Amino acid sequence: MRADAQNLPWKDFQKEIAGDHYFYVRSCIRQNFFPGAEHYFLKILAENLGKDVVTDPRHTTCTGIAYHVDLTRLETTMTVIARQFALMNEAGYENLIISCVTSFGLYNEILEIWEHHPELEARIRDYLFRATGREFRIPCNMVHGSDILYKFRNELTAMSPHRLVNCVTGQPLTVIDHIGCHYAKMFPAKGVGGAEYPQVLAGLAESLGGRVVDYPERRMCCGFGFRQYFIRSSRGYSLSCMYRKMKALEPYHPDLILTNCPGCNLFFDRWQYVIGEQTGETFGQDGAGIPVLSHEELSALCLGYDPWDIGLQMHQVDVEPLLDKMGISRDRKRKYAGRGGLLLPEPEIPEIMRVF
Amino acid sequence: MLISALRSLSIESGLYMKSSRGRQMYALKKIIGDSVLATGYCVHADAVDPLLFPEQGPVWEWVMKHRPEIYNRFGDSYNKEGKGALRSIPGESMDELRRIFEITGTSRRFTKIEEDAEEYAGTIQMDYDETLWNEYFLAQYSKNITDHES
Repeated sequence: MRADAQNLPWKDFQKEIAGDHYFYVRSCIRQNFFPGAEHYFLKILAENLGKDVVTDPRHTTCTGIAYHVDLTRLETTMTVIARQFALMNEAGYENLIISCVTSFGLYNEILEIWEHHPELEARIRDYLFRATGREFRIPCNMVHGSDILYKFRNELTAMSPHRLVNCVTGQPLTVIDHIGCHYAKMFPAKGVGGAEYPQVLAGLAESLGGRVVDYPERRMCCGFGFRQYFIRSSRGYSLSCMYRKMKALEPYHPDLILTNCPGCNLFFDRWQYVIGEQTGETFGQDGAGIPVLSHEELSALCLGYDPWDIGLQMHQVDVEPLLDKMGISRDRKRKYAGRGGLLLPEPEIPEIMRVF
Repeated sequence: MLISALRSLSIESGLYMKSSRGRQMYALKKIIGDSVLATGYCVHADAVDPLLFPEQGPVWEWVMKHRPEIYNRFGDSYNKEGKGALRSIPGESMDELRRIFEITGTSRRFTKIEEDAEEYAGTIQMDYDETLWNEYFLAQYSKNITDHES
């Protein structure tokens, strides 16, 4: 998108993404379920793109999940996030990258509240100082991890040996993009393309050679919904949302579901298994599921990193059909190896959904 | 902010205990709140028990059985010092987090949720203790217990 006079109506759909010197905050969900995604995100930034990026072991959860289930008071969440800002300032950085989409939405929500209620910001500064002796400045630039890979998508594509292209037919692979609700639905101006024309994942996938398809429930929530998932008696709401999405995207025969939110990545992956067990339905080819990758995992894969080093074996939906289509070779013996190559017993195989 | 304020009012006034969904705050406090204060994470693999979260599937059971070998592939910091996945957050940072919870009122909210749950468990004659696996927790976690049922 160009920023000339002709394109002024589109300026609201663009955002500034800093080009270097980043402070990175991790996601609780991502590091539990897809730890390789964050590991390789940092590696791609530092080693492939040559950027300066740091993370600090002292940072904690932002309390986002606790906040969204009404456990933590707003002032608590604000003060915890203010502490993350303080850690960033103390490290000498002013550009913040946030791994989690829930956190990204929450950080933006808090800055928005402070803009309208400076007296609340002042109170949080007091809380933070009393609790930790720290002070903070608001970041100059605050983006989600997927924004960074979008910004550098052309550079990443240029250095990637693999593409989202069928290695046999030469045809683009079909990609479903799913953007976490808290990325831009709350504050459209904070997302690339806003809430209406989000490009952050589509742009990355298309740059890597894929074909992104539109479908009726494209912008519908994955169903995580925090409270409705964490309480077992409500979990059916979460599953029902996902079932509706899977049925909507099924006719397009996607080769890949691409996400930027760790929760969405988890639920697209796990609910396909549950739907298989409960209904006997699978959505991929020959009884398999549709592989689900995040922006970091896809970028690392295309850059030529080993799929098992990226941790793709931690997905319940097997990624091997996608690897075959992309022509990515791998050592089957290393799939379920632990640190140092120690061979571990393999996971049990689901009754319905095919794994390899 | 209005919704947030109303939710806070419901908890702080005790009105949340008048509804089955409100009483489930206790289960959320045990699963998420306790995790935040014990580990610094809203969710930590060590507490994502396949018995509570069976939809995580056989691959998660595999991860759970081999956590150190698997997580240490990604930064070698699982439950220990480091910068990688599921690192142990330093004690001083955890102390800061707990002080933030104290000063901003969430610790008091957690205590209230526990006290209200204990009292309610007594009225419906369910076993209650401070562990995760008490009868009252499992009931609130698994069912919508209406006043009529209780």
